[in-house]
Amino acid sequence: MGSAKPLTGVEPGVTGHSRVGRSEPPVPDSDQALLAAVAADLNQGQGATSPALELLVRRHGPALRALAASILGDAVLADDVVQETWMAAFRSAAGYQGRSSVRTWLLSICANRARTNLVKERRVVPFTRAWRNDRAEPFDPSAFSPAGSWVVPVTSWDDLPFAVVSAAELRDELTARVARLPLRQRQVVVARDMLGCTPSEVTELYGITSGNQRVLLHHARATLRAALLADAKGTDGP
Amino acid sequence: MKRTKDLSCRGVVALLDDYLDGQLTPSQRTVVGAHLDACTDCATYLKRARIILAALSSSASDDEQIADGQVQRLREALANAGG
Repeated sequence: MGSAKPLTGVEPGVTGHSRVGRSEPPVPDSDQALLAAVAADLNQGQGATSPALELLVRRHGPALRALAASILGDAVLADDVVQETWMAAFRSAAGYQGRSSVRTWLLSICANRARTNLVKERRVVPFTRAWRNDRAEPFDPSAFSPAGSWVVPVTSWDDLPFAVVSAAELRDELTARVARLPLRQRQVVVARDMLGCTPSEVTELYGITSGNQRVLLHHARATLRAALLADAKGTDGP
Repeated sequence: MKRTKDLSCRGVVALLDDYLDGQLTPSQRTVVGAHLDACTDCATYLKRARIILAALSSSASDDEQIADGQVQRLREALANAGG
């Protein structure tokens, strides 16, 4: 590893340190400081035992895994891509300039690596082909009368006999449904609604326009809503 | 049929995700809000949409097991590389 250059500035609102052990020096809390600490530890041949590395990985690892899985549709490949992401990030940590948050930077590295993996595996779906499969409106128009009102009254989930009863069950069902979405919709809904990325972060992550990401997101959400209602009722929902 | 200011239920659903994301203009938001106040079907649909968003938001959070695996794998790789 090259020598670590000290990073200036601390992410706003983040102060303080974490103390890993009584005899060990305090570990910084901010992502930027953690990244710098990892780079320093690696430079001294202590990366494998770096407490800053563990903190950073615990903080962002699950999000990277979710993003990689949304792109690759394969948990094992996703784990490999995340490993490559971390190694690449730590190798280039000294060059991190703070133009984006550390989280966004990590997600970008991960998305790029996952897409490279897709190309390598020849699993790329041409964007235009995927685009053409989406309806103009994200929802099923047959749910509405010609005048635009609901054909069937919208029932609260609490009133359905087979409604999901717990938050955990709903999360599990949604996770399974998200995994079955078309690739582009899955990528966007995971980044936006599961990982909390902003629209501009998503357009940058995937190289799509703001309009594209919006439509993909709306289609994904409408599909999830319809699928959950269909599950709850045992029939096709709107 | 429930219509508010020329906005049908279908029109509200078409705008719903932009409404949830705060992407409507103030006048659009007013019109959609007025329809939601008057239409129990659309209000229920909105509630359902919000429940789903909340569940999605909480689903990709801190999975200890995933993080444990990543930490362990990285430590092994770095130890093997002498880093």
